[in-house]
Amino acid sequence: MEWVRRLFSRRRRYQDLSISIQEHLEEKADELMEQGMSREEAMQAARRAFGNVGLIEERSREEWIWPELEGLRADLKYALRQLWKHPAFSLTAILTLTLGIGANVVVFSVLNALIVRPLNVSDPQQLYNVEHKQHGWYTQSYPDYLDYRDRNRTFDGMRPTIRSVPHSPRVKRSPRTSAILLPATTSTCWAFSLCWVASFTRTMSMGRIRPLISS
Amino acid sequence: MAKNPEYRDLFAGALELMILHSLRVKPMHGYALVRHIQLVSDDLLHIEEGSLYPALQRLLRAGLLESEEGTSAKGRPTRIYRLTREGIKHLEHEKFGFETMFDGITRVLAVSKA
Repeated sequence: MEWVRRLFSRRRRYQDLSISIQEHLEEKADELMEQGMSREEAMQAARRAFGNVGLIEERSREEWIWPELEGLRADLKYALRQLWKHPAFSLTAILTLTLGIGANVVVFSVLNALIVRPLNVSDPQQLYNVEHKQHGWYTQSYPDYLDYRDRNRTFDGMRPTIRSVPHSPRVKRSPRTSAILLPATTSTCWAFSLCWVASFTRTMSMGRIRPLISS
Repeated sequence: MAKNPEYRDLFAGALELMILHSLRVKPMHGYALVRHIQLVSDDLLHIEEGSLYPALQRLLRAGLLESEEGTSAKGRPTRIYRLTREGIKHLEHEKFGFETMFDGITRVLAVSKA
């Protein structure tokens, strides 16, 4: 709450300044009136002698503002000079910060993908991607996909897709496609349209679907 | 700030030194301070208000002065400035520096042509 205290303290200072200047003008005007001027003339003359009241008040108030900015500027200059004078330390600090920030970005990205914005399906853990065990390929031939689909007794459903072009209408004509096995617990999976599958595949291409190795 | 007689500016720190010394003699408000310096300098020094009030704020901010509510000779509300303990120490230090400088300048100017 230090800044609140300082804010009010500064307001009080500004008010004190205005009161001081006002009194200054009044006292000067009193002197001039003693020399025979009218009140109005004396105040005008006092203001002329004083100068631009608003400007002087502003310059006086700046004394409370600029030193903080000046201090910040001086601190920055000093810090940069020290970094320049000690390159080994600077390099270590920069590398440490880079690694630290990088690690944080990675951890946040993973948490963001898995927890903050999970897949738009009821049970993402039950999704699998079928891959070849022998070839290590991510893709399957379309006839293989048809075999898997027809003989499937484990999963609720299966959809073909192309990873790189998930929205392509050529999905079913492609000689090599990936297959997605729909989770056993997701009964609505059968109602997926091709477009839905495509968008579904796009999330898969982000690496959220566990591989299921087929032989 | 020193207008009379030749509108010559004071060197840096001189105004602050005079303000501090004057307020050590007696706490005063702004206008009284201007009049005091004018009076004791036999009208040789005229303090410009445009310099006085920023200088006062600088000294307040540095903790060398403090202000309190008071009234002027005419009974109007104003703010009275007085030296803090820190201000007294600063004044002593600055006075020593100025005296040394004046001494040096005087000696240089005192050298006559060979």
